[in-house]
Amino acid sequence: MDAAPGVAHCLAMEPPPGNSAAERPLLSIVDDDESVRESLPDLIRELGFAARAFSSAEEFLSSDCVDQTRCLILDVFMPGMTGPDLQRELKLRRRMIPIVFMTARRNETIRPQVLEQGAVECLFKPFSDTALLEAIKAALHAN
Amino acid sequence: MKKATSIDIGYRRRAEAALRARESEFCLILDAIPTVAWSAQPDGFADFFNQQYLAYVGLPLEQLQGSGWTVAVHPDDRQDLAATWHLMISSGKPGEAEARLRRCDGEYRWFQFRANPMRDGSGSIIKWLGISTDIEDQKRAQAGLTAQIGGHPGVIENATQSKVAEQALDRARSELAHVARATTLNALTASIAHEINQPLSGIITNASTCLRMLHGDPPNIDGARETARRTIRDGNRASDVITRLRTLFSNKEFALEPLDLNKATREVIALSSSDLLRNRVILRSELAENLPLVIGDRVPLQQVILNLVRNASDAMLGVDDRPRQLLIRTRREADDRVRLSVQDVGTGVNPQDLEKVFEAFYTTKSSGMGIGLFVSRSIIERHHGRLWAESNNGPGAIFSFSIPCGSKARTRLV
Repeated sequence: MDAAPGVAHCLAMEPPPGNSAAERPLLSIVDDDESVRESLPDLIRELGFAARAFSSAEEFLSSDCVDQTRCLILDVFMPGMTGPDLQRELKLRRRMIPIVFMTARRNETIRPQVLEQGAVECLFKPFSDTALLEAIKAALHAN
Repeated sequence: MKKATSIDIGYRRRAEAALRARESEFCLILDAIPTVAWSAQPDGFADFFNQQYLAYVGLPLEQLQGSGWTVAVHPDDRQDLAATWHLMISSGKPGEAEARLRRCDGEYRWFQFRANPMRDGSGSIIKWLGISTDIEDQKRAQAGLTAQIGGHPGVIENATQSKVAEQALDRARSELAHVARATTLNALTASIAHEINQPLSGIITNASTCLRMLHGDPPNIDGARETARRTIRDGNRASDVITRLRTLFSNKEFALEPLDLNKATREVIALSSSDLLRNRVILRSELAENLPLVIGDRVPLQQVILNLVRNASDAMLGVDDRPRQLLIRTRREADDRVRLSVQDVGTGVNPQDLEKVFEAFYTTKSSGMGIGLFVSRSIIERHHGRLWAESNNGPGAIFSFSIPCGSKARTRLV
């Protein structure tokens, strides 16, 4: 569980029963809301994936998870670097990680914007586990 | 005797003839005016419609007389127009209204109906004179322009249209101001929605996880217990958001202290003096000496006073024919209360709107959300006071509040 100070790491996922962590695609969650970081990884693990949560885009970028992340579940509005900012940054770095956006603001203009920039889906919070699973499947398929 | 009678008859004949001549001259004039015009008796009985009117609607004078003219008014506009007209007749004041009028070919076009009372030497109304102006093109240009501003660029074709378009632009600007206000409201509801959607999202995610953990083989009881616990916590969090919102609007704890309302008022005056100067408002204060202390929270009370002063100043922004005078007064009232009044000479408040102005989101301003007076009233009511509006004696309005002072306030306020 120990990591270098200030660097989030991707190891030591709880091994799920009957499946090894290594075989499971890693999904990274970036959200400034603590309750999302606490609840969403558990659900994603229940859905059969490995999960990591980050409180900011910057934290995610400075972690060693960027290369291993198969799908990014990304909040739109965050202090500092926003979701769309991270989307652009990853493009610049040529990291083609499929992105599923999520937002608690039912802003109808943001969805077409992020989809146009290549996002797989944009979910409005609160969303169901099945909607999330569909989006993840689409993202991994795109991968 | 015979001679006298013949003189009388002769006089009357001449007088009647003169009156008829005047009437017919009057009708000739109305017929010559290049617009749709009409007249009515003091009780509102329409007695004359000029040639332009008759030609436009394609109906004979006899059919329009009395209240027959309403037959050519669009059924959807009839009631409002009649209501405005009756209000004018009963108040004796000039007025105007917009309604669609049917042309002889059956097409309805928008008209602005305006009428003035004509009075005799003693001030009694002897006739109503009205004109109806075709504003259909203006209406269309306005609608078109609003659409353009809404993102459909178009070309204004010629110079005559451009003047109409200019007027329409003014209207569109004021429409936009309404949109801006609605946007502020949207922003408010959006942030409320965001605050509530976050915990709702947590509730749904945790409950979904909980179900999946229980469905496992073997079920993950500890995990399910933990996620159920988080579900409850997020539910409480959503409930806290609602509580905070309510606090924001009404339930703020007041820090009560004995308070010199004159001193608090002077501070507000000092704070707003540069704004008032910029708006060319002349402020006068008549603060009663030996005003008893009130028990209250200085900051919210000053917010109320500031709000009243700003409203008064804003109401006089369009006033250019008289000094923009603002008067703040404090005085002691009979039953151990202190009253503060803010009086302006601005646009005033319609008598039927004197209560409406205190409703949430009601506003006549192009900016602002219309919650200032609503919040002000709730603050004053929490001081066991009263905030109300009156029409000024002359132009403008007076907004006053009265709150209990001294020992009475101390025992009553909790």
